[in-house]
Amino acid sequence: MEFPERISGKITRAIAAELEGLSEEKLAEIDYGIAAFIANSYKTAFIFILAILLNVFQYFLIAFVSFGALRTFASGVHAKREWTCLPVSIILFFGILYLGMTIELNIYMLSTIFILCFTAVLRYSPADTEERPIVSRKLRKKLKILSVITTLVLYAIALYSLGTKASSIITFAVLVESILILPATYRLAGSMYGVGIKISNKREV
Amino acid sequence: MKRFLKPLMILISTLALFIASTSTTACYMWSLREPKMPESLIKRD
Repeated sequence: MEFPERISGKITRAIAAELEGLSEEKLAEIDYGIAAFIANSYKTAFIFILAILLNVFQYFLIAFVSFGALRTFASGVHAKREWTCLPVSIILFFGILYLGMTIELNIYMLSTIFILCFTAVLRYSPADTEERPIVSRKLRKKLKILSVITTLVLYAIALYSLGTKASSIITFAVLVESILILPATYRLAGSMYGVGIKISNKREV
Repeated sequence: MKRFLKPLMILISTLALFIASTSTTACYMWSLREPKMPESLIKRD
């Protein structure tokens, strides 16, 4: 068991002892909510502090918001282990920053990257995981539409700020997130792509 | 201390349930690992 789940388990047991009458189902949901909060917050705080120390916070914020906006709806592959997650997150975010700050994209390069990303988003989003399968077809459709809209909005912002570092950072953030939803990336990470579709088709997973 | 424990637990539970329920419709795990979602939170048509 990873450490966010260990801490959330302890807190949930304390909650169960203090608040009587909570069902097992509710406690499992509370446990998940706490684990999700811990797993996300300490890594986010660490990366934010690192960005401040490296004096690239404003650019990091652009990468973080662009990447996060698309990831919220398109989802994508996740690390299997806690200890691999933080280094991979650092490499991805600071990789986006490095590329965005060193490579100035012209309109043709930017548009080509966005066309590729748009195709990937249209074809493969939302890319769920075994840990959080998206079974509902209605929800999948809604998330796909929102992913496509987010990609188009980010493209518009990148075009508007063309010639600046922000434009390149947004483009590389979208590119990285698009790579994370590809089935090939899932295979590389040892994860299963399309678990939700398989469950909704009542196939064996 | 005991007086504050129950309201604190209620607050943590409410926030945790809010995070859990919003996680069912969108991926808020921007970092690269996510805990396993309980069966009861998986939305079905």
